[in-house]
Amino acid sequence: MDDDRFYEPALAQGLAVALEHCPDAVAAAFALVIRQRAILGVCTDPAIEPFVLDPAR
Amino acid sequence: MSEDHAWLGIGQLASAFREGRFTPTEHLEHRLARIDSIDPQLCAFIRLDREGARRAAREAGARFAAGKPRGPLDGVPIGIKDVIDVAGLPTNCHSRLMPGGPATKDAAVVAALRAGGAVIVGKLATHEFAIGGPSFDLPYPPARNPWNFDHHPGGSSSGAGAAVAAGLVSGAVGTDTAGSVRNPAGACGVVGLKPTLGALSRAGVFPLAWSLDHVGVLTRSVADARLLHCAMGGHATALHRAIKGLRIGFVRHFHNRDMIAEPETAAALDRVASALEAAGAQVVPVELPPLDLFATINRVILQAEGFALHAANLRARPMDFAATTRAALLPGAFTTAEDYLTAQRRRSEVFAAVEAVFAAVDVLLCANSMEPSCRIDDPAEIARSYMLNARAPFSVTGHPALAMMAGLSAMGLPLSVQFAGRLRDEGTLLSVAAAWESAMGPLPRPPITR
Repeated sequence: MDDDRFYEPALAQGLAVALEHCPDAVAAAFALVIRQRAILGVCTDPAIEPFVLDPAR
Repeated sequence: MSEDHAWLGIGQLASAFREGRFTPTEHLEHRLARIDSIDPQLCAFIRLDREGARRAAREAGARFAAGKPRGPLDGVPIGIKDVIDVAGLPTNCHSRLMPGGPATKDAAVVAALRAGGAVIVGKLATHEFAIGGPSFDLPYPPARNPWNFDHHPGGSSSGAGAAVAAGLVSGAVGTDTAGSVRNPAGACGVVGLKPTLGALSRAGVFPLAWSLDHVGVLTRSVADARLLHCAMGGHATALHRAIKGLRIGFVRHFHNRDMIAEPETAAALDRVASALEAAGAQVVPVELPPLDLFATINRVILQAEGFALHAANLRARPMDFAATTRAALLPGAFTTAEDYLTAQRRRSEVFAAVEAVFAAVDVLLCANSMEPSCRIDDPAEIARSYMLNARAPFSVTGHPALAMMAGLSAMGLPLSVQFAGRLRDEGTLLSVAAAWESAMGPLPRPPITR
């Protein structure tokens, strides 16, 4: 994933080891949560809207 | 000879032991020989307890000889998913992250089985911590599908489905948080009952998501599912002899609008509906919320609760999880309280929607998996096909649900159907499933070929 918006939230969650060894899995997890918010109707931050609009991410 | 014994169900064994046709010990030896012959390739068991099983079988034999059997499970070989404690055996959850020491106490459901005289044969393969998928990066190999060893058996109660379908045991105990009893039941062509949420005790069961976790059973017949469920403390009225007059709601939009089932699966579901109509039931179309909403609610709750349980290991040693387990649990790190509570609120909404439908029908009929199981060595295909199911609705609402065979695909793999019942009405649910079973005839036996 060329977008690294997941990086800081992941560090804040203590996922430094996962970021080092499996960054793609961390990025995919972040993107999935954003997509799920859209389906549940949870308000999403416009700054991360691209994740909602592009399900492939 | 072990082939003859392989297909005896719980009810048949009780009769055979009572009539003295063979003893529990003789029967167990046939099963163990079959396990030795098949399981090196099938990988349904991760640990056998030959000594404990032989002791339990001898004790059951003595009770039958004395004319004092304990009940329908006395002397019957049963397998236990490896997230459920069996005293004296480790509960590994198919993971390298578990300490590995023996459990000191039986889970409540295992204790109930032992009290009924069941012979606990061993611990069955699971997806790691009952989540993820078949993995080749764990200390134990994944179970395979008896219908074709190159295909996966569903999960996460993968060993349970494989062992029952292959005739290694007469029944197995699994768990179901997002479909983990019903998925292998469908993939392996057996009967899988997820009872009403809370119907069976979870004491001594390693949790995945505590507000969603169910204990369930896998067997080769509907009647056996009832016997095993009741032996563990569940309740189900006796099977009705006829289903004439019952109203069955057919949730077609799950498989022809929300998701698109393969034509073979859709045709099989139509055959089930026709057979139930021929048996006297009234099949009516019904509408529920969309599958995507159910599935998302299920996932968000599972991710949040599962991450809370595994957070320390996901932070400190994430690479010790299987890649599929990491992928399934890591979203929980980003799940907020708002996400979780919104999912729980929406859960209440969809529960009310399902309850409203049950005001007008007795049982629901819908898809289980949208297609037969794919190859086990194709991670991309597994990831794609794992999402194609209609199990989440009843994981979320807690209504009892049962998956079973609906025929065979052109490739010779099981197709499946799902029924769901009203809360705490497993009896009517099982009766409708038994009517389909009767129309379909005895379950075909897997060829056990590679």
